[in-house]
Amino acid sequence: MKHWSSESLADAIYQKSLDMALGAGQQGSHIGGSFSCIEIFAVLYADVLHYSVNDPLWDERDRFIASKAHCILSHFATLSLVGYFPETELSSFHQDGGLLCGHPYAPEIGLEFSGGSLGMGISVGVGMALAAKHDGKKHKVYVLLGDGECNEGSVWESFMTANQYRLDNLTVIIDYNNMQFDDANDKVMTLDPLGKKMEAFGFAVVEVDGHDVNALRDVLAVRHVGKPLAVIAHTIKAKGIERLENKPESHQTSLLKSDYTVAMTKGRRG
Amino acid sequence: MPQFDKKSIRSWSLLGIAPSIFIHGVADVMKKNKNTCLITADTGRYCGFQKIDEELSDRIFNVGIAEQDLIGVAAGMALEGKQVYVTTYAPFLAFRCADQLRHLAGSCNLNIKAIGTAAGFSAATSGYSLMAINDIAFARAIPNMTVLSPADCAEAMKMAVAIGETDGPVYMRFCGLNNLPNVYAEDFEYKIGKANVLKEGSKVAILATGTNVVWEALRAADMLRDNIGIEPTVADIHTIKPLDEEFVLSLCKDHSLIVTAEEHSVVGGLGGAVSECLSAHGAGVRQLFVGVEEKSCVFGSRKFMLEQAGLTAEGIVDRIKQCACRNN
Repeated sequence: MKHWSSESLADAIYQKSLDMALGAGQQGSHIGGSFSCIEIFAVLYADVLHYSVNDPLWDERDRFIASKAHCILSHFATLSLVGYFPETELSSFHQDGGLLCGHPYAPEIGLEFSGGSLGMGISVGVGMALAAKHDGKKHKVYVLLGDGECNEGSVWESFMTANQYRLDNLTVIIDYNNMQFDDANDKVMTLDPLGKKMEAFGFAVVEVDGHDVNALRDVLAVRHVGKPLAVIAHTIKAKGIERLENKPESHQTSLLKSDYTVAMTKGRRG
Repeated sequence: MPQFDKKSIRSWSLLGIAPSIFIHGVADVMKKNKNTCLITADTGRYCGFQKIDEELSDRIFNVGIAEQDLIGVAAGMALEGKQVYVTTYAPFLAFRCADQLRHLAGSCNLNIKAIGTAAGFSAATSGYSLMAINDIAFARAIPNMTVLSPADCAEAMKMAVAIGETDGPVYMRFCGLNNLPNVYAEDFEYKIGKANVLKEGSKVAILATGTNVVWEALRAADMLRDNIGIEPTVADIHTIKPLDEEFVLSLCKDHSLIVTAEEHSVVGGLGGAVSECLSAHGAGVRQLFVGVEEKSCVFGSRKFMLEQAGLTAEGIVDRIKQCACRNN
């Protein structure tokens, strides 16, 4: 099995995601939110999560829930690159009846949760962390939330439960690309000051440049005894696709051949 | 499980859901299965949690008044291999977290046992918001979901224990709180999915579900026998999904009218389930739906509301007589 550095994994996820987005053709895919969290995936799967692709249900694995789910494009790419399934399977993305169509619940390929309906995955993660704490298990639970997803009231219900049960085995990462389906967060539903809100909900809070793999690695190692940890990762929606960067229309769209060519030439960091 | 002697059964019916479902039923499952947990959304006191054995308290959780989180947390625990009973008032359990129930519990087929209390008209003095009269229709349409409705406290206890032997999602709704009539005065056989025939008769069959309603169906049968000489079949349909289709279809031979009675909308509940079964098999037997019609906009006690909906022996008999008149 190839050992990835987080930098090289980020580059590989980026390239694979571009291939998949192009392959999805005119029906398009969730590009914006998939390209904003590539470094988050890279750091989690290269440096942070304990998992075994040869034994996907290994009891001591860390659990990872992609609650925002609209990052399934780059999540699939990541799971394939780290060895959960062959890269050839990526061609079934968004194909009728394919393994990678929809938001499958498929723990055998590393998908612990079927997302798509926003605000659900965080409570599932809280339940997993609660079960682990009750059973005295040492693994950790990581949940990736979208910033737009935080409009959902159920997210805040879960935050209260995480605080009530002092779930210090839980880390919530917010992909804060400041953009949702219709427009910028502030134009739709203001989320700031998110850090203060989460502190008030009982979290240890750190903020970070969500495209800086070294900084991400550092904050994910922060000690948070007696409290859940919130990592607010400031990111750019559709990062690395020049025409779509920081544009709400990147949320669900097609990748043009010209987008692909520019991106492959310039690379992730332009 | 405690002994099903006559005295105990009477006392459970007087005291209601707390002893029958939770203090004995669910707690009994938790004692046998160390993997079973119980979560509420701030209705633990209502359900007698404070009287559940102290030794089980570390497996009892409360997420506050947050139904979406209730099912989400239960799903996370179920994914970790737990069996999770959850409870709150039925109108909220069915609808405030409808998305979580359909997707997490249902389509992901998780081991979540959702027990809705205060179902039907139980809290109708508080108005429509506190009424659960469409919950069966919703729960029935969720994939993998077993839907249960006990006829009295003794059956509720058997049910709470029986669902502990199953792996998939369950929605169980309980109408009324306490001081409820006994359909089962002594121990009896209980099996999920198997209708309990309480009276064997002919011509008319009354298929009833839920507390009070099954009892009233039995009274209606006595009135029909005494007044017009018809001896109807009466059955307790405690399992609405999967419906005991074999039993329902077996009625077609000797019965020309099948009456369904439920503390629920006439749309999509037991009546709907029976109708789907009969029509799919081309049974051609007339059906009479006794339940909640859309016209109702008055509120009051459960007794008052049951009377308004015709869910009393007198109401059921009147409807059957009207139906017979139209046929003649």
